[in-house]
Amino acid sequence: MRPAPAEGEPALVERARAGDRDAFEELVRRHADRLYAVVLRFVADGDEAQEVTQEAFLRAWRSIPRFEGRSAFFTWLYRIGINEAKRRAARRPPIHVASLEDEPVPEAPDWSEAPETRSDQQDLRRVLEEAIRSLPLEYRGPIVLRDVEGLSTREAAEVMELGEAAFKSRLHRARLAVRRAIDEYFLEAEL
Amino acid sequence: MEAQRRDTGPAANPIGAIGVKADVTASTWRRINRRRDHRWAHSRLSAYIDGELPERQHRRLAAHEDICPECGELIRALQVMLSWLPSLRLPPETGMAIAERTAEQVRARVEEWS
Repeated sequence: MRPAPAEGEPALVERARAGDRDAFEELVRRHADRLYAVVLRFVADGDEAQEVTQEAFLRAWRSIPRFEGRSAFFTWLYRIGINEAKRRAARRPPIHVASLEDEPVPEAPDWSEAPETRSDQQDLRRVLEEAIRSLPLEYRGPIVLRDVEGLSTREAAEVMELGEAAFKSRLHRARLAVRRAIDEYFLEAEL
Repeated sequence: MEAQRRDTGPAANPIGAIGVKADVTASTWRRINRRRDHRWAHSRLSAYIDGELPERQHRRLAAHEDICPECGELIRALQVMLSWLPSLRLPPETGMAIAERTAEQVRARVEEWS
């Protein structure tokens, strides 16, 4: 039976647990894009992100009878997806690992004004993407989940299976590293 | 010790010398407290920016922000950076296409298993 468009998630999850494939498909439609977006930060490219996303949902389908609802469905799903993505990423040598130094880049210009042109905006987006991608894996998740995808601290910490204090500590280090990357970009642009 | 090396040494003005020593001590303590405050603040900046500190800590950090240019600058930089990061999200039309494709792929595989 196809779910009604406004059917609540707990009801869909219950039906999926009972083997209802239509209910599970609706869960896929609701969450695939955001899971893909998160996974994309850990893997090589869009094709691999699509593979990992599909794999995460297939694992979820196989395990959903045992899903007890102690966490939200999407938390559980993201955890499956990120763990799979990290396993694949760990097999690959990192291209460049960002420094997690706390100190600011000396002489960095003030870049607090918004980028002026479309090309500046595209450049900046590229710098932000590369900065995030060069973070060590355990620091990438916090900033992607919290600051890019907009999960709350509690939700994001749950996905990462961290206490909130540990999560915030990693988030802070990740933010400082991305800030350094922006400093370096604007400093180079001035030279 | 510092007071004793001055021309107006303690012998000439013992009460004044104690006052000078107290000033040096007070300013040294202020410097130590500022450094301690700075280290304390630095580790809580993200929670502060996110509005997740308990009220008392928030006030303490806000007071530190007022007197510490380094922390003030870092807070502003992080706030600007955080305003840019959501622009990295997938555009909605891309997201919809991915959701549709994934649903089809998962359906096909699940049907193979059943």
